[in-house]
Amino acid sequence: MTEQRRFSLDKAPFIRRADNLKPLSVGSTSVIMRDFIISLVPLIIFAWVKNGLLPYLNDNPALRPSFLEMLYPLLFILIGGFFSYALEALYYSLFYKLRGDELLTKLSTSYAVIPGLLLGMILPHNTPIWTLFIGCLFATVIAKLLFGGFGHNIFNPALIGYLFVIVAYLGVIQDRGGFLNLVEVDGVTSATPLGHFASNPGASIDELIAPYGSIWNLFVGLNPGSGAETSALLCILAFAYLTVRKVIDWRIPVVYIGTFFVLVYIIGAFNGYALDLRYALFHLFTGGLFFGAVFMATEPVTGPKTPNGRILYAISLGVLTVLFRFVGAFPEGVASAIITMNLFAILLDRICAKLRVSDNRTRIIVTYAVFALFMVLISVYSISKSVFKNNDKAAIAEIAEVTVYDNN
Amino acid sequence: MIFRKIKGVHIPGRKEMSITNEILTFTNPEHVYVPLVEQGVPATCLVKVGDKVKLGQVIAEKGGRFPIPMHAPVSGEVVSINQKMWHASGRMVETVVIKNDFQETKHESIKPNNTDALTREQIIEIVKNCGIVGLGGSCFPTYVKYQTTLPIDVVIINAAECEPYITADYMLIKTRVNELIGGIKFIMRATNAPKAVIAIKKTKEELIEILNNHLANEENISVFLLPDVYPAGWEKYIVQKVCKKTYRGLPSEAGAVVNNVGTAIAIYHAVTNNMPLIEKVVTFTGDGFNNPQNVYVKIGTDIREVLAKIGGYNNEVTEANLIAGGPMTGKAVAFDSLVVHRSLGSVIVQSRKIRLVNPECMGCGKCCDICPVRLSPILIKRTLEDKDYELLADFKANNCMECGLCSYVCPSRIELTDAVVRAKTALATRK
Repeated sequence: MTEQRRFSLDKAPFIRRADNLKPLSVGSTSVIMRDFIISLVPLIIFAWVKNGLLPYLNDNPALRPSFLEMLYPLLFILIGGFFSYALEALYYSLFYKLRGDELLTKLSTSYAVIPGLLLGMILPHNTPIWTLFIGCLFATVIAKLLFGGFGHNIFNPALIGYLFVIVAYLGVIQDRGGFLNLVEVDGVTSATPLGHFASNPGASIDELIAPYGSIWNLFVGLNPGSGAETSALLCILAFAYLTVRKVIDWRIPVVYIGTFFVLVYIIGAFNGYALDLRYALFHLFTGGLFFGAVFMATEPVTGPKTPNGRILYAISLGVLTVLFRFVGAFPEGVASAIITMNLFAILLDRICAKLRVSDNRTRIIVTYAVFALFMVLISVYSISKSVFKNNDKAAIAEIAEVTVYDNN
Repeated sequence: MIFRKIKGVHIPGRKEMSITNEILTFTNPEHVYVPLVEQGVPATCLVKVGDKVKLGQVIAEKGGRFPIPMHAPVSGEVVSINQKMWHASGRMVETVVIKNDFQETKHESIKPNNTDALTREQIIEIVKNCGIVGLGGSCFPTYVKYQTTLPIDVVIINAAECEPYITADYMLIKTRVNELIGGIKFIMRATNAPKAVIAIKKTKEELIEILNNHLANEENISVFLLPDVYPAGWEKYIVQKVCKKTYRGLPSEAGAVVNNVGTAIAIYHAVTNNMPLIEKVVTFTGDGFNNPQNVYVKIGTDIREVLAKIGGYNNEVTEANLIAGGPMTGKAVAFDSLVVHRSLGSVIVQSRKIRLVNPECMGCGKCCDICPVRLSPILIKRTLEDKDYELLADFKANNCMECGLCSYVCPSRIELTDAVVRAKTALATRK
């Protein structure tokens, strides 16, 4: 009998999708992250064209930015990515004493550029570099690395950075021109669509759309707004790419935007736009909804992992976005809604993982019913608030008319 | 339980490796080593060192809830009853070693039956006495499935062979279709089932044609096409597809009996000739072999003896895994002194694939999405690490059937299947 040969002991299964290293395979985390960054490229270019190139090419020399200013919107985003990469490198070399190859390996499996890149895309392009740096510091070091690095963070790092900057430095950004590029400053458009809405909540839809031309412009993204997030069209294209490449779960953006649309349509209907979809579309295409739904809400680390959990997560996001947008203090609602739901991701997962395997029909139905009831209550609250606003306005207008009449 | 559709995933089969070569018959090894354990239950040895045994003689009896005998695969002399050999369970087990005298002296019990006169009970008795177990990998005693009091509507022959690489059933259907059909008829008589279907993946066109040709005159037996997904060969999946019903314990709850192709052929020989289960087809495949092929071997053959017949190892593969069973569910075995037991379907030697740097779980949720029993593997893994056994029980980690899909799809190459199996064991030992 021949001698025994020794073999390696590994765990079944002995074939893994992650072992397929062909460039078109969809198996491994690095490929997933590569595809994610690829999908951001058109949006980055769009941000640069809209805020840098188009103002540079306009006919009025008085409104023409300098060459460097023309490049700034593009550099801004890239610098954001650089900052978060550098901060993460610094963090690991200072506190973990990683050097050379070890450090590079760590950074390559930690996808360090992504938070800063995303932050650069959602901040207004007039943000000064030092503010961006502080944002990146918050995003990378505080929201991501202190929680244990990639895979362990509870909150979406880019959104934490964004909210911090907006809360702490909005004044600084406003001083430098806010959300507007040079052409927009001079034009009829004086604010972002949602800023415009927030200051005139009772305005008719024609008044709301008038400064931006048409719904189509809002859809394409040719309206004032944060860096790269204005174009719903490009977000949809990125969504298609990411879905085909199996990077994100398509259910989250679809359910999120769907829920949001239904609620906004109901609000529109109560405000007299039952047959006019423009009201709902106005809200759909403004603010960071599409960008948030495609790139932020689908962020897998901070969201639920179970498929049913993701559906509930997306529904909650839609409901909360409406709540924050129509009732809250800020004109936006996407960032706060996502950060809020990040908190609930673990709870949702825990409940949903049990429900998936549960044989107890009553328990399943009761759990989903309680969730639905909760969502309906929040929605009814936000709808009532936003309808009240309008009636309030009408009442004020009526009083004003009466006063005018009296004065006459 | 609410009817829930099981999803599957397409996995490249790579079956061409072992399909192109003919079946090699190698039924005269010098020694056979019959493992004294099956399904983790020890068997009582009924012979002593020095005994002369005949081919087909009962040499051991497995105890436990479902007792079943084990037979001598060759005639000869018992030279040892406690030599340890590697077993497909990944451990070393005691074996009865029989030195082959190459006489093939058959035991008196092996004689043709008057098959037409047999009653249902007699067929079941023969199936039990001949030691027929599920050859799909479970080793579950087949007679237990037939003893049900529930009405059986359909006998399902599982020819899906959904594990990649394995082609044993493929070759059996190709070369022994008449014995298969004969076996199916006996199974139908043993269960009083009015009809039978052969469930096969729709991509195996060659076999479907062969089957359709042979089934032209059989009214009650038909071919059922399954999609080319893993785990299409899972009993619950097939029953769900064929009967549109699901069940919790045994398929008989849904009115079905599921048997493997190899089992049906073994039953044919058992019922016609009282021939016990002592031979089977094993697929030797993977890039670690020079000539991957199917080999017809005796139970208890040391695979090193087979190796010499099929051209040995491929020397270019230096670091390799020896896998007993399929690549998805098989076990890695440390040494190649591995013996063939009754439900070993394949032996795979493939170059070791390992990635040293793996990212953390990014929470993509693919494992939760893919799980055929709707577990949430990554949550189970984390809960296990937190030692929260109450929650593990709520997550029903014990439902895991170890198909390996969660580890297969994981982009970060996390050992999820292993974690869920550990959770399952932890839950079982705590009860």
